[in-house]
Amino acid sequence: MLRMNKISKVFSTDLIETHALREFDLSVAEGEFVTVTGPSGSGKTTFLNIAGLLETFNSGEYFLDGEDVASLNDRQRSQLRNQKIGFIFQSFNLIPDLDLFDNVDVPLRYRGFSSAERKDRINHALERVGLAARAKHLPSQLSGGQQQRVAIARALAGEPRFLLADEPTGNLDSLMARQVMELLEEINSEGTTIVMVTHDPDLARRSQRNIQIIDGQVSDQQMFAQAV
Amino acid sequence: MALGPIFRSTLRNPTGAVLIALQIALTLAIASNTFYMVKQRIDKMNRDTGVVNEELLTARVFYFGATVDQKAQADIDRKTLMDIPGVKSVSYSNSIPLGGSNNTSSLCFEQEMNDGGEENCPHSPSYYRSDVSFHETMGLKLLAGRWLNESDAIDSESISSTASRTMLLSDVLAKLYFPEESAVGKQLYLGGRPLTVVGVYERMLRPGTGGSNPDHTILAAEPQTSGYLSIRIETDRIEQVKAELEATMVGLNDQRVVSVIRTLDEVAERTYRRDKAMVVLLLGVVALLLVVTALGVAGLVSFTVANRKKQIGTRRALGASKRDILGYFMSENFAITATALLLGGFLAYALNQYLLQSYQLSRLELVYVFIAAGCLLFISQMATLLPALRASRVSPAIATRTV
Amino acid sequence: MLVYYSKLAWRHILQTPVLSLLIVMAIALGIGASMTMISYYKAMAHNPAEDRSESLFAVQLAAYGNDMEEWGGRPDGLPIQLTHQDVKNLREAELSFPRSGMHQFMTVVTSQREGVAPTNDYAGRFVDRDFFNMFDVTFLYGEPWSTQVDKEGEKHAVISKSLSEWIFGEADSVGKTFVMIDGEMLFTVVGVYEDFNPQPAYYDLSTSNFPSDGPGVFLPYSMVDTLDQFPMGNISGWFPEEINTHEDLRKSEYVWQVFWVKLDNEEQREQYRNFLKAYSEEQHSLGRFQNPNPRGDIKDVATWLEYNEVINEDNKVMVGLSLLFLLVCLVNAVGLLLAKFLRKMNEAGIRRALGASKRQIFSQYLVEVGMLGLLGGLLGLVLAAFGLWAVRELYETDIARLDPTLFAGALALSLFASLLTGILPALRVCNSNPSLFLKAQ
Repeated sequence: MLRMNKISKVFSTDLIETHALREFDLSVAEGEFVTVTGPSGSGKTTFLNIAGLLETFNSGEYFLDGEDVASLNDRQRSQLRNQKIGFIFQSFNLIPDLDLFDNVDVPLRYRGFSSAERKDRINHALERVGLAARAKHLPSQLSGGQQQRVAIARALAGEPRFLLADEPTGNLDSLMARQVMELLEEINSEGTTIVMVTHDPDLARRSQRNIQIIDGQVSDQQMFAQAV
Repeated sequence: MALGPIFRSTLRNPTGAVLIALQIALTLAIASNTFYMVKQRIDKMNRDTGVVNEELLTARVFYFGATVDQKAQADIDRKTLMDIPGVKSVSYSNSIPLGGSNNTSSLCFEQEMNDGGEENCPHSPSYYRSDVSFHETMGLKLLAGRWLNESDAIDSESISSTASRTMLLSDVLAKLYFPEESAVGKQLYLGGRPLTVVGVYERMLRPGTGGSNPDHTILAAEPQTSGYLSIRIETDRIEQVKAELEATMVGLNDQRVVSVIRTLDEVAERTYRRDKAMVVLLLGVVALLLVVTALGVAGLVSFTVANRKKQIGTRRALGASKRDILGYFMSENFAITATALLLGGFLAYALNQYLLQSYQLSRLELVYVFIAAGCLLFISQMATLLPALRASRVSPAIATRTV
Repeated sequence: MLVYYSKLAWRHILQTPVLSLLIVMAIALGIGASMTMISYYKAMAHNPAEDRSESLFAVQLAAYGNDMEEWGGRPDGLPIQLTHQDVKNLREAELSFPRSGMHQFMTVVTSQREGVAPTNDYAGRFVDRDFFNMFDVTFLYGEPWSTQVDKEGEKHAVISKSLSEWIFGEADSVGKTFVMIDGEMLFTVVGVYEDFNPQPAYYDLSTSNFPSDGPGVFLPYSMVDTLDQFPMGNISGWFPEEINTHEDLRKSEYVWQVFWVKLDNEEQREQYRNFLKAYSEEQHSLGRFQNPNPRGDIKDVATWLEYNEVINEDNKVMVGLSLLFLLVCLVNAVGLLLAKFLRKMNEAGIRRALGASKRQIFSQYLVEVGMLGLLGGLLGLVLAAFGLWAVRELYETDIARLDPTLFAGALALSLFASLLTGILPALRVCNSNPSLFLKAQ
């Protein structure tokens, strides 16, 4: 599903160069649920941004679903992101001015679906996270856990093959965090590949594989038994 | 507070500051030139006509009867009008200051007009032809020599020049032709005819808007019987006489049309209508310009304040007083505005250069740049004050809040 | 997608009402001011001859002597008016082109209605019968006088509908007679025309360019010699001549009349230019036109309007000033748009993460700017209508009106201007690194 070979990412300012990733290698197979841990500043977020095609890299190779993304332009990358990747963020990143329906609608709009199909998918996705009844509410009217479920619905509406989550439970209390985690596991069990950044070792243990990034490189990999 | 850090933080993200500066610079360039144009127009409208505006009523008299003895009728008119209470003096003339009809001719030192060109005939004054009481009707001031009298008066029907042998010059004209000595007693040629200068009056404006030499006028005694009728009346009687004038005049003789009955102030208003319109439009645009600039500055400062809320809170938490925050934004705006005004000064000069070349406008006086710059600095600081006050009220507690 | 962008834009405009209103007002004020001035300018620059513009020609002659190089204050050294002698000669030349000499005069007309005093409110004008066709005068009743009258003169008159109603109390007065000029002379109405006052009054720019009233009565030019009416307008001379009678004026070298000729193609124009050349040389040999370059010229209506500087300096200055004002308003709008859009950086980041390309984000914001621009343009038109009302009041003129073609122009200008101003802010939004805004807030 995802294969990175010797990816390097350098942030340069006038004064210093920061190596966020150095010769970073990682493969994720189709259907895997991988968690990424590491201290802050280790390069987790940079890895996630590159994996999600939000940022480019300086050297190395990155194949997403067999496609070499280095040669793609912004439009193609955006298209690929739109079709194959779903994002979930720590701070949910719902658009505050749009109601739930319109929030879930955002990626579908860029996909170019017909309005009937969009409606169908949105309702379906909201049902899936149990919030169909509140489609006309604004994000601010929901609890954190509910907001994150909307964000997941939004990520799922386009039926991506690959879900990237950046500490999705970081802003939630433990009960809500567990609900969200269960939802993600359910999605994974249906075949969607998930890569999740977290610093919660308990959550990491629930995934199939945990990789630890330190100083821009994979320092450790742990395989866990499938928890079904 | 030191200005250093302010400049540095502004320089790091200069777009907003550059836009404010650009706007203020352009505004200064436009406003200073506009103020100057307005000033010139107002000077023009307020210039001394040399005559007693507030006491003058004028009308145009046009005969259509083929058999009328116009000269005799003019005498009757004069006598009748003089009997009206408040009327001081009555004259018929070929034109009036600021009026519509104008006769001009080259005024030369030598009779032969082709010799010497500009040197021989340097100016083309407007000439007034009237009866010998015209100076009294108009209320002119004599500076040298004497007024015209019956012995100067010549009857003529000429429409191309004056038949008179004597004339008075305006002071400006007298000094132009005879800078070293008195003009009285000198001879000049008007349209090829010799005329002796018998006196010099202070001033009487040309007809119309006056062009570039509004004070170049000549007065000759050549009684007219139609054309412009001017009546000098005590100011508080003027409206009453005005209301009855047409009936009175046509009552005396119905073989004529008496029209365009206006006080000289009304004549002036019509003559200067374009200038007045220009002043109103120029001031209107400048007022809008200043409003737009003020709103623009206020909008951008508000935005900066909103953006830096956290930074302001942090500063407050670290010990900056409300005054410091207020001072911070005010001095930031002051620095930007001052820089902009410097740039705007050059732009104002450039715009003026362009106007000088393309139109007949004169060189911008520096004082108008300073006036406009002062206005802008004030407006810009005022526009900053409100958002800056809001900034100073930002709670230090905001620094510790994460979301 | 455009519908989607518009929906988002509208929502965003409503969410930031103050900032949006400021932007719309800035654009509206700029458009309003510039449209006011441009409309007024356009009205003054209007060419009322329209499709006849290229076939109507004002004739000029270097009718001055004493070895003067130029006279009349124009760049080509030709006076804009002609002497009576020259107009007479040009009229009588053996050429078959439609033509008309003309000059304006003040006259007193007597009404046949009870209790109405004679008036000089209606200006008279001597013209030839071709004038009516050349300058597109619409006849309501009757027709121009005959070619015979053009040659021999007759007390025929063509009067305006207003004058007809003033004299007779009715519009159709063909065949009736009325008193004019000296209180006794009788003229016969041969035609009544729809009131004629093209703006600018291109047929004669030697008097007023924008008269509030057009001519009230036309008389045959052939009567100039017999009616002895002094002109109401400019009389200019290059050397002093004593003028006491109308005959003196007719025989003088003073210029006080205007002459137009209709030339439909280049061949005819060439023929007329050659004729003027020969005529000037002939006059030179007869002792007139004693200058180094005796010549004539013809200018079509568009050229003539420009040559006579129908648009005054004030109007040009005001157009320039209003465009500078628009520029300031747009700079202002850029700043405000930037402020408005930077608040939306986060949303743009989310949209990017969800698959929007830079181009899509850019388009979304440009649509919003365009909407603000159109709103500003519409409001600007309202302001322009008000501004033009002010101009009409100030100048006491009726010509400054909102032209329907400018209507579209104003909207196009505001759209174009706003898109131009929106480029920088929209680029800022779409080029920002999305990941910066996604992490934490």
